[in-house]
Amino acid sequence: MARIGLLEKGFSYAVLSLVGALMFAPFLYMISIALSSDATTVKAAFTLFPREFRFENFVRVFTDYRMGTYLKNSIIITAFTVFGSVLSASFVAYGFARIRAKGSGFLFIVLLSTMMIPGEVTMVPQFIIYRELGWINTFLPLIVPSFFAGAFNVFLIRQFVMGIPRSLDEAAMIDGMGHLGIYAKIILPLTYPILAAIGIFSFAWNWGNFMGPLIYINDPKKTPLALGVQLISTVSGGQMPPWNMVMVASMFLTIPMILVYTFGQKYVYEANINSGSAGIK
Amino acid sequence: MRSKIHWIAMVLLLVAGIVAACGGNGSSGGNGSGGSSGGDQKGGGEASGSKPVSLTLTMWGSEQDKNTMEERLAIVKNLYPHITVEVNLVAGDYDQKVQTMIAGGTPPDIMMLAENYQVYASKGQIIPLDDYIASHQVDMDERYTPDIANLMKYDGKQYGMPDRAGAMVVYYNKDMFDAANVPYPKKGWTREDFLEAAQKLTIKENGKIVQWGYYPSSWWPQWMQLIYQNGGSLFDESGKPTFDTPEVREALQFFNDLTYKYGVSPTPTEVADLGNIGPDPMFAQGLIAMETTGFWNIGSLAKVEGINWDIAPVWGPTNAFFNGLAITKDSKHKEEAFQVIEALTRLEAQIPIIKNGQDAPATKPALNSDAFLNAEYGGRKINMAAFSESEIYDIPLNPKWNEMQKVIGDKLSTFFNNDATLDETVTAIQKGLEELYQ
Amino acid sequence: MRTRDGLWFYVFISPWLFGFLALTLGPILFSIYMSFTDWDLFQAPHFIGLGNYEKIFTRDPLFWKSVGNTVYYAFISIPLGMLLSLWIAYYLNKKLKGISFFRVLYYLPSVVPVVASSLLFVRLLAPNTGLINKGLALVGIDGPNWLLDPDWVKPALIVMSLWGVGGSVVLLLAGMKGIPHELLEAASIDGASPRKAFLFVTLPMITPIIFFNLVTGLIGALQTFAQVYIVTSGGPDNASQMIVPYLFENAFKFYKMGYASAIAWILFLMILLLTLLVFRSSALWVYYEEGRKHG
Repeated sequence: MARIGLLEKGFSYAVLSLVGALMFAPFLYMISIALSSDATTVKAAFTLFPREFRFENFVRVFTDYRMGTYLKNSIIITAFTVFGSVLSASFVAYGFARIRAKGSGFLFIVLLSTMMIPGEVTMVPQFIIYRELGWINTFLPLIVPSFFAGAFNVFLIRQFVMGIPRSLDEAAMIDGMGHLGIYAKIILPLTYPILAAIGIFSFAWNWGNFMGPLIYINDPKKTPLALGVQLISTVSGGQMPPWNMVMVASMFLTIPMILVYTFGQKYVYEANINSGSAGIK
Repeated sequence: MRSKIHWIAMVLLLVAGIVAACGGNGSSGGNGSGGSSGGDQKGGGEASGSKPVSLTLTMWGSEQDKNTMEERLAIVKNLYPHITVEVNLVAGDYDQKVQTMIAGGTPPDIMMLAENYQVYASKGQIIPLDDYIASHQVDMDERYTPDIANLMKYDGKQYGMPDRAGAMVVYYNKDMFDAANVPYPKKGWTREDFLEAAQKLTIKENGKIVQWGYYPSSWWPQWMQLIYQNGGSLFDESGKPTFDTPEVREALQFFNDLTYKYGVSPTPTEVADLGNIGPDPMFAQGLIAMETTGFWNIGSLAKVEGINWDIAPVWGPTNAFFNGLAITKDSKHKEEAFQVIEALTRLEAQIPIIKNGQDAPATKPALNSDAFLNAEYGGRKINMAAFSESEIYDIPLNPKWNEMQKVIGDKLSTFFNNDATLDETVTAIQKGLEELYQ
Repeated sequence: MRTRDGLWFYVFISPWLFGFLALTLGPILFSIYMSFTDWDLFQAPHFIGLGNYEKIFTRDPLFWKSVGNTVYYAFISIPLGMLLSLWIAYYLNKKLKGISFFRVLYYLPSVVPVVASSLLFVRLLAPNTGLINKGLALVGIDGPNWLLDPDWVKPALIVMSLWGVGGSVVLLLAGMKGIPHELLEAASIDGASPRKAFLFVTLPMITPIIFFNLVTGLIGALQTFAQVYIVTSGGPDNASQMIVPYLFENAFKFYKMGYASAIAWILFLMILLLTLLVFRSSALWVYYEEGRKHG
């Protein structure tokens, strides 16, 4: 559609590369520290561009630390939570976006409110609930809540569903379709790009979440990666963490998120949400 | 006590309808603290034939610290085969996790604690050990020097067995001392000797300082030791704050003079330009000739080649970095918990701390053992006697330790940046402390 | 029909409603109650009425300082972040070769852990050796002593926050991709320049997403924690202290969970009020397809 001129193209590349370099810097620094020797770490003499290449650090994180265990646990937890988040949020969001009922506006504000309460003050009572359920030191407190639809995700899908013309639903209703049908046959297919986005986000969020595991997991065999990174970076007062190993572990934390985004982005961007609807009009 | 909280929680849960929904889980009874409590046997001192007991111990530190603890617990296990101790290494914020465990009704049996153990003691969360010490006939004078044993005394009672404790010591770069023709620090040197050395060891090239004599950082042990060396204190006998006294003023002025008058320490701006690194990495990089820090730096420096260093006692009384083991009020197995922490502070169970280069042990026999005095790190012999030669002052520990640190630290950071006068600083801190301890 | 609809509404939101009633509501009520007590996390709480609230409103200048800092931070970092993310999304939406590589590049910093990125920011913000001040020096500006200066530590945190716009960019791009082609084609046939088409077609069409970014950005910024806790610890002398780190300190460092709960509920009301204001304003500027009537 757009005839992009050569000059404009060059300018765009220049802008993208320049700002991109700034965006890349934290990641580059992480790589550089991850490849540093122990001596460099003790000196904290890190450079933005790597000058040492201690690839053995990536082996040590498995032998000196429990990277294998961390990864296994993170994969289990994240697989369930991503599935649960996407499934439940899309279902709930349909209700908030499409059905007008008594109390729906109020409940939506209640839903948003759950994002506004600092978790620090609900942590202890929440812990008591899970203890009563016998869930302490299991993955359940980390996994089960994701099946109950997070506010962020519901709100996001709602915003997208509200962008889909209602005429579609109305047409389907006239054809005798109920809400379940409209949700499954019309809304779900049209929102799958945003569901892909939510999948990417909830992968990143759950893969990187350490607060939940910090509170609920005691057993080292059940420690997920994000908590493992915290373990590696926690040292006694006054001491300096082994930054090179912290960064190696952080790379195991970051790279899967990047891969998920890299391969997931085409589902987010390539589908055209409204093209179908535009065709019907 | 806590049952009231649980009661409230349960009522709220009922309101929320959860118990009805999930009560079918079948685990309403005794799955609380994770410890199987089959018959609480009192006075089970006799090891053999006792019922197996499982305890939990929370600690902070690195994975290596945990391995050392497990190695030591294996030694304890030989003594008490029926006791199993599960180690819970806490990542991130130790206080937050442990407090949630306690408030949530699943406290550990044994807790590693340091400066803020007095909070737990004052709130009755850990128990005094004096009765256990008496009934087990532990000779505290034989086990600890008085200043170390006192570290974990609150209200005249022993609330924990110090486990690891090492004085803050001076690390000095021998090559720099040789080059400047300055004698090495040794026991009995004074603050004047220290300043003179620091001045000679500060080197300027083309108007730019390339080597400083000393860098303390703004961490509390650094300024606090100067106050106590100068005869000052944070509180008087009756517990009233004494921050606005000539002794404290002079000590803090000396701290700033190191930077702004004598120029032997880098300014905060210079430190920021170095990437805001602490004294340990600065020393390792060869940017400073002296630093004062804890035992841990021995292990770090052993990894760095091409730096020739040793340690010496500080020029006056200094801090001990310590931690100890305490028993929680709600432990169902206090007797066994005491057996464990008592055994952990015997010489043979302290040896792994030394062998693994983890820390300085807290007990007298361990500090005086050949294993400690002749320990080699990175193939180098170090003046380990510096630890037992150090003089330790009574750190003004109290139940409001964290808040006290904040009141003081907030104002001192501005003073150390040279953005506030000494007078403003000490009067503001004195006022803040008086409010806190009224 | 109406009542049937009502029933379906509750069927659809039931997963959330169940989770809310079972896992969230209880702790919320619990913490509201605790805000009226002196609970220290260990000993039985005593009911002290409005004692905590009274102290917050009359005798706690540090709380109000952290409110001021938080609001300062939120009100500058949110608009800046939204503008930057729109600007980036505009470029990343172009049909250029290798654009998906750039999309990954811009997403990177939002997934790098704060502990890792903060190490770099401390170096970038160094007064003389830091890249940022070196850049400013090139254009003749004598850069400040960012993290040590009470006046500049908040701007420093705002600058750091700009690295985290990746998430909002993803959503904006998704929104842009959802715009029907014919709309943009019609605009270009009418002779609109790409820039004009962006302003008058693309921008209105993605207002629901901008709205989403604004609301979640507001909620997030007012609860800023990690950057402050890790990078500045609230210093120098509380110049960068914010509400949630202050609350955290009170709860777990000073053993004042009752007081922390009261702070949390004041913060909650602040956020709720601002969010409702934004919702109210949305009728003026957020464009929903569904509202458009057509024949």
